Amino acid sequence: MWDLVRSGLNMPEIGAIILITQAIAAPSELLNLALNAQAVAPEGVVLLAMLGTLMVDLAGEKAAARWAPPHLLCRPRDSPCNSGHAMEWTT
Amino acid sequence: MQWNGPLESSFLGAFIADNLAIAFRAVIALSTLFSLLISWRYAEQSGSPVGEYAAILLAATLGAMLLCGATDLVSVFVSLETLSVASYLLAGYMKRDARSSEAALKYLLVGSAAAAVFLYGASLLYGISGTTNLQVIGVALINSPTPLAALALVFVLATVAFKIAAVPFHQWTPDVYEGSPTPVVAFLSVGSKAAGFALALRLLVGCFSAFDSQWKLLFTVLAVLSMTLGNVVALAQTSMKRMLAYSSIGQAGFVMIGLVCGTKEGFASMILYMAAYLFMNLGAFACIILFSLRTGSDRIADYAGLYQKDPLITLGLSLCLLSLGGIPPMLGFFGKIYLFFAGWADHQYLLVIVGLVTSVISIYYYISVIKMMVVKEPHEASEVVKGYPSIQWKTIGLPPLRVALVACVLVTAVGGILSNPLFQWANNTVIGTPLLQQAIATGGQTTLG
Repeated sequence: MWDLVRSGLNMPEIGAIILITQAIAAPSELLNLALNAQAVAPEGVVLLAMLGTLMVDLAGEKAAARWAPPHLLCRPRDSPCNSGHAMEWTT
Repeated sequence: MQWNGPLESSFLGAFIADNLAIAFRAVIALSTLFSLLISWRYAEQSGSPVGEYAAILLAATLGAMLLCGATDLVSVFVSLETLSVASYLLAGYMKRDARSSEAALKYLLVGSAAAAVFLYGASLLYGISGTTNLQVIGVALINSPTPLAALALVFVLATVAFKIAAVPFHQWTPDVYEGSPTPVVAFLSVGSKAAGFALALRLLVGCFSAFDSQWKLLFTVLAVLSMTLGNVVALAQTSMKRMLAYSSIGQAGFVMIGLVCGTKEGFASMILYMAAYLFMNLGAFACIILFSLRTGSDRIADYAGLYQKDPLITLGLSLCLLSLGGIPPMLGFFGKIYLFFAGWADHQYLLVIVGLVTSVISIYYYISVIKMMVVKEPHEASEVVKGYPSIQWKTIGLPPLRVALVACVLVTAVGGILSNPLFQWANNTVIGTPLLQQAIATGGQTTLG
């Protein structure tokens, strides 16, 4: 390992090399971690649905904010010019 | 795909997808699906963001589903908190409604205390056994059943009792149910409770087999108190949500009969009743939501004469309430009779007699609501019903609500007659779960009492 340090490589690169070397040296140990993740497939579906819902919700809010900025439109005095500005924004 | 498949624990022994976990996860997933369907219009009408609501509900579902298969103290706590934190958020989702915020705060405070009690029990268990794996802890407790382990049992049991809202750990239920948005109450009353019973099976049957007679005695007391108090106090309620809150406490008492039996029939009847409870309770809540969307009222007295104006809600609510009361040939009747049969076969005479008496009491308050809706003459109808607004079924969110209502009512009404597949499913769940099979085989041989 000291050879690697003396070689002038940065720490992240050294870390990556060590990880790869360990994986090649003892592949069975890494593979034995067997998380058996397919057992939680239904929970995975729920998680994906949750993330999907949040993404769609967020995208919807972003789009809504871009098409008609509420904080600008809510000022009655500035509304006419801001409405025009919002219309330009969409093009 | 996982049903009766080869059993292999996941995440280094923190989770297992046995038949028990699959069955309870199915109940929770279905309760979420129906809750989402009945929530849409409610959220739209109240002006709350639907997307965030759905995401939080799915987070609660995720926690509840993971809790069903958790086999390690750490994974139990993480999933329990995922469910709890999401539930607090859901309870306070109507930010502009002071009652909703109050419900969330109460739920948060009591829930945090319950979580702390669980952590204390879990730390005692870790101290005794030196591990967080439930199976290994169970073996350690059999080898050295110390008084400290009995103390850990009390703490863990308190957490389970809080989650299933068993008396005397039920105080949060009426207030939270009354203040929370109605679709959230629907989910909490089924999904959260199912997760609580799955946790009870994992912890008490799987981990505390050395204290079999002790926890069964404690649960007998809790079941008697829950059935009695839940059903008697429900008689005096004037709010529909509050009545169903006390009814759910009583229903938890009925399910506990199966847990106390510890036999194949006991466990199977528990699972069957939870599945039946899913449909009849969510069906009732769908009707209540539809009524409150149209009238804004939740009072039982306001349902007077509803049959004249809305036969769909009247019929649906009547069938679901009759099923909750255990009237044949509804699904609830078969669920209840199976529970009582299992209790009688296991010589739990006290529980069965209390269950029968309180069932009769529950029929009284359920039928009072039906009588209110059906028997009243048009001139006796409530002011709310007299001014009952017409409904546009094409309004956003109403078609899903109608689908959920019809599906739940249909299963509640017809499911009883065609309940054989459900019985088979419940029995196969018990047969295909090594944890339950082991508990049935030992049958108290390792107990101290």
